[in-house]
Amino acid sequence: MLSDWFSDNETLIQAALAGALLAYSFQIALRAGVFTLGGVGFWAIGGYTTAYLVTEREWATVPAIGVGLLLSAVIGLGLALVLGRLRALYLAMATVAFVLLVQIVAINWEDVTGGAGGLFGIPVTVSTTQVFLVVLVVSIALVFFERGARGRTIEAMRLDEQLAQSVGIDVVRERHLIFVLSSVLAALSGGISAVMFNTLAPEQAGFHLITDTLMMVVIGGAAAWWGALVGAIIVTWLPELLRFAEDYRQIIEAAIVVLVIVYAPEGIVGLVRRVRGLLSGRRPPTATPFADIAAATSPDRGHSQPEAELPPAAGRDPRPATQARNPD
Amino acid sequence: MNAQDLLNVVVIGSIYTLFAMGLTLSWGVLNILNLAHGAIFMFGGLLAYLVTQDSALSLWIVMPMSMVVCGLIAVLLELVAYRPIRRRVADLHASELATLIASIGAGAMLVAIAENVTENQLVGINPETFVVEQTSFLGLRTTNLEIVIVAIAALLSVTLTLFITRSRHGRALRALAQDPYTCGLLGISPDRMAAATMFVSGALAGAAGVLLAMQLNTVEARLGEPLLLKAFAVIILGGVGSVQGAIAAAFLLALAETFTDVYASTSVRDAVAFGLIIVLLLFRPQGLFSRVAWQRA
Amino acid sequence: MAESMLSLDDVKVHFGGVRAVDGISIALEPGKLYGIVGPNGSGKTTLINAISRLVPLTDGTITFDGTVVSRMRPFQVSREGLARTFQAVRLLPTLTVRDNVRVAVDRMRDGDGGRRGRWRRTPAERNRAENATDVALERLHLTQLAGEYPENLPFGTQRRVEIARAIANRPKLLLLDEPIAGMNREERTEIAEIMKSLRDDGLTQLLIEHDLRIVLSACDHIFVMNFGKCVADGPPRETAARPEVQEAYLGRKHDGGA
Repeated sequence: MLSDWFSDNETLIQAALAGALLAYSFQIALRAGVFTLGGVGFWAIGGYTTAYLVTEREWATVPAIGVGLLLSAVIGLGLALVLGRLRALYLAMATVAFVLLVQIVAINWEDVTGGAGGLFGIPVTVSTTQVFLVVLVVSIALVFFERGARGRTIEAMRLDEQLAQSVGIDVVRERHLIFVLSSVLAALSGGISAVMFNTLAPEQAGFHLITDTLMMVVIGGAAAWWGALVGAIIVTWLPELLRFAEDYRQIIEAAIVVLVIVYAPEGIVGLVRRVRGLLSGRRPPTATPFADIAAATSPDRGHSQPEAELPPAAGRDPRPATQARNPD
Repeated sequence: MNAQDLLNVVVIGSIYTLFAMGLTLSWGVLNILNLAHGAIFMFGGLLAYLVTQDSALSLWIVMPMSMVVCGLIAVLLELVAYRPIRRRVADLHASELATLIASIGAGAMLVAIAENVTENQLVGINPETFVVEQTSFLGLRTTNLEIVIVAIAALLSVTLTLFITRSRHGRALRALAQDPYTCGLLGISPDRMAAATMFVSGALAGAAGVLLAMQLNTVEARLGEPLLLKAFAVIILGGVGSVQGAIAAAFLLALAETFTDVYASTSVRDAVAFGLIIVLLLFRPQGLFSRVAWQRA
Repeated sequence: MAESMLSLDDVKVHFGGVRAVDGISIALEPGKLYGIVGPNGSGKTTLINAISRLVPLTDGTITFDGTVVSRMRPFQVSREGLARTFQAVRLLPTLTVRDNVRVAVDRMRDGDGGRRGRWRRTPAERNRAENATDVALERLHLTQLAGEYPENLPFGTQRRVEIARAIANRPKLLLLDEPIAGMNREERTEIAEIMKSLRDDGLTQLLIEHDLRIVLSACDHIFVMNFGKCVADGPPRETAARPEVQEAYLGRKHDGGA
């Protein structure tokens, strides 16, 4: 029974696993307050590197993916150094530009990428079980990474960067670290996808993938690591669930993103915590990168500033987070 | 590079101007990086295709109509997504990110609708909408359409610039960019101004969409995506929120691209925009022209 | 001068044409409780922000415990042993009271002060951090509330959590930006007592406050700021009585309720 279900749904399971890795990549950055959407670019870099080495150079899968990860780590660090001081929308914009650039390179560098048509017949060298194990290991690693001191550091960086610095957190270095980690996770997803689905084309690594991945993070909820995993599973099965909608499926999918981000930005993680809170009678606040409750305790960082407590002359930028440059 | 290339620069720069002005406006005034802008732009062309499918209409009817509809689409996004987010999410950082994601979702929705309508085919606006003829201008080869594109871009950008710098509403817009809260106190309704800004932004995208679709003689669902990258470069170059900066930057980018085209290769051309973004972000994040943009950059 | 905990030499912070801080030279001796008073907009908070390195200096030198810190980044001065609180309470709403305090000791290491650390801390280091957290919570009478989330606590208690966080890493100097604003009388007295007892333990403190009564009763020495300059300093009561100080406050005497 169960094995039947697995073989019937193997492609979806694979897609969910690869999606979860990419969703982790997005989530880890957003949770730390690093507004990067560049993961899709690194997904492509990881994917093409792996595909090229496995197909053209006949490398084994693991070293091929490894090179993809390494390359992404290096490029990710470079990008972090260049874009590191950008905040908020500037960083989002610059990283979207990076994704579009990678896509342009993929279309034009025909010798390696197969051009606009993409690569076909990449040997399938990983099994679903192996990929499952990879996702399991990464998930466990993330649990440890986001627990304890590092978890508190991440919360502080996202919620209040000035405060983070004032308690001794080297925000610049931490942001670089997050950027690199996010790049590597995305490249892992891309590399695995390449040798799991045997084709890779530039159009896969565009806006569409950004939308899909954000959808996973938003629907699942970004306040806990497992939100990305649940989101990946839901988003992967969504086309199946929406089969009745036929031609309107993609429109409905996109509409779901908009509705969730506007009306339920805490996603499933938020929902679960709320239910658990009702049962236990006490609810921990769920702040996600898209729906902070920070304003509840610090009125000076909200949109509306009921009482600007300092005249501009006193020089505190009321909106430190939107600065393009660091104060230092 | 010869005079013919320069003419080309002017035409491309005009399209970039029309596209980027709307995007810089919503970012500068409302802190909305509207990634649905490319899709709204595409919708302008798509609408022109749809209404001319059976019977040819004049461009002078089709374009204003597309502008109005695209403006309304942008207002709709503001009403159903961006405004509720601003209301719900108090933290500026979080609200910017939520708005960005909502705009990506909204853009994907418009693209999906377009894919349905066109059945994933390339379609074209009825050529009788505007009969393109070869002509010459100061001895250079061009078309009457290109002259129209340049003229419309010039007209709309001058109008918008005058509106912002001279009119009462324009001053209110600039005030809104500086300090929404105080604006509310002064009797300027931030919500109404936001809707108006989005309308203008969408209408500009609509005009650009119709014109580019005419020029390329194609409409397809992903028409807007490549332009988004260009617009980013234009906005960064011109300074976020600065309309004059965007106009100047649009032509500079077109010049840089054409230059690359002529002296390097066509495939490098599309990377120019990204290169400019990186260099500028590194050395002059406030933009080339404006010392201070509407908002502190 | 060498014994100063903190010394500012002609420190200036200008924003465009606005001279928020315009040539301040002061020195703090270790183990004393200092106050800065002055009308709104006189540059007090900017000065604190300059010392904790959140705003760049236009000119001048800041020396903290023998180290020149004027060019350091905020996290670096923090690791040198300088802690601060903020004018508006800035707690992390998603963390419990205990975790809010822990944030400050997460980088506590043996030896080098955690400047370049191994990936994980040793159990001994973690223990030390936990103890420091316990001590700080105890000190601010928060032990019972360690598991609460900040939003469920009254404002005055949130302020105490901020102070607990600031002292948890055993700083050498504590900057307090209006720690009793918006508190009721009892809470004010409680905070004043805590500041005095921290002083008795040898912690140097620099306090910004509107409420002159608290400043006069708690501080050892005060500085009066107006228009970005230090217009007077000395023992609290005498200094407050000087005519130029009275003038700076004239007509805008605050009661700390702002």
